[in-house]
Amino acid sequence: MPNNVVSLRGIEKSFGENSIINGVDLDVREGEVVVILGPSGSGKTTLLRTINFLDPADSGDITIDGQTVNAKKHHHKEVRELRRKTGMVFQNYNLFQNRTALENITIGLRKVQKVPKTEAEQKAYELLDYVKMRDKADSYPAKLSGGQQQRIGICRALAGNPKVVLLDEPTSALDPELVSDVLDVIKQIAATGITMIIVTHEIAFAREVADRVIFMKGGVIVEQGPAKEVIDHPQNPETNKFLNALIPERSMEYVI
Amino acid sequence: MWRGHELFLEVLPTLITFIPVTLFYFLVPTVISWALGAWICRVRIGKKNLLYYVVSLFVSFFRGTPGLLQLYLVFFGLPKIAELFGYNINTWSAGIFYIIATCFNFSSFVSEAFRGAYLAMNKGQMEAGYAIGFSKLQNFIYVIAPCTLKVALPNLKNLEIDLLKGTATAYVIGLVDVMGRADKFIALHRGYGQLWILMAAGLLYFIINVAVEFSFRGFEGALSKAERG
Repeated sequence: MPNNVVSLRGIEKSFGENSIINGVDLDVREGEVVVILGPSGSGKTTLLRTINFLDPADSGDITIDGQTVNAKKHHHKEVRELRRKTGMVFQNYNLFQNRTALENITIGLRKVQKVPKTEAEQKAYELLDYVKMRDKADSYPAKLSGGQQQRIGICRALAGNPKVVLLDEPTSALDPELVSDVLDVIKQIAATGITMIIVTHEIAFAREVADRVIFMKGGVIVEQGPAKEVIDHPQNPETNKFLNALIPERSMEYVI
Repeated sequence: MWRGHELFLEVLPTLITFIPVTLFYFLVPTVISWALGAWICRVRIGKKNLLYYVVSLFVSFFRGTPGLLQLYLVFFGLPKIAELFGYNINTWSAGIFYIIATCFNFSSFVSEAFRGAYLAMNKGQMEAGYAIGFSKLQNFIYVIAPCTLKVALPNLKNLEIDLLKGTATAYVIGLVDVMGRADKFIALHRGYGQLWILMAAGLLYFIINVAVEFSFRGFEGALSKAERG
């Protein structure tokens, strides 16, 4: 039984009067790929962002690779140490606009992990080969398509050898024809055994790539289980309703 | 009216020797005000505490009153305040008062240029910086400062040009820079050839401004390399 890489305990978060997450516990095993599904406003993106303290939770404990950080009481150095164990892929890529693709990947290695320049670049080129973008190493983000930018974003997230990669709707800002490129890359990475937590609306992709699917609504986990089970035979009526809305063929069965 | 054209060439070499003085009163406030302006900007985008309101009032005052009036206030007022605490600063040179007044005024404008640029910045890049483990300082150096500076630069260029031309007002408190020296020449000749002397000074200011303009252009070019690819 592999160890838990990520453990969340009693995560709560509200923005002013709006409570977004109402007590979430979650364990992610080493090498597991977890997909979080749920209607908009269900708190799935916020939950992902509480893991690396981009949106610090109001209460709860976050454990990554044995290091536990309390959401309320912590030193900022603990947060940075925790963040170093994570890699994040953003919906809008968020590449550093004033740096080339290569520099986007190496800057974290060089400035945070203090890896020498040549070594960092060697690692970056390996990653660029992996996503088939070595020829774009010296391009600035403004000259890259959305799909290319997101592939660089994935390289940047992987560069620091994270214990867990957090992907926040990695394809929802992309043109439809570019989505599959990025999803293929994510599938490849998932296959290498890296722990991943993915928020997405791509049900077919989730069904294929996820070991476990979590369905959230109203800031709590409503249902979870193996991907195919939850997506094909949801037990909870809320999950069923959500999946019906996303997959037209499912609701068609009732019509016929 | 056009009498005295021989003075143009006569005073020019002397005026040229005062260019370093003008540059000194241009560059020193620039350096101090960029640092002070960055700090003011930092306070004004942060939490609304007491410091925020004090600093906002400071910016409001120095942006909302004439620079010449501020120069007089500092020149005549500061020694009075120092006197209350038992210090005599009447012996300080006029240049120090000019630099203090100018830094107050200029940093207020610079802070607003920075603040506008910061607000326009795409905050996603900051999040990405934190996500890869940058400290606040690293995020400032590698992400926030380059992005903000790029947006603020055209605005800063205008402000710098105004600052340079503003050094000409320093002669009212007795500072001898290019303008101050020109004024002395005018007094010496009792108004004879006044226009020619002023034109000589004007030419020098114009040449310095062109140089400022070109250095900013180079700076802008370097920072916008990312857009040209």
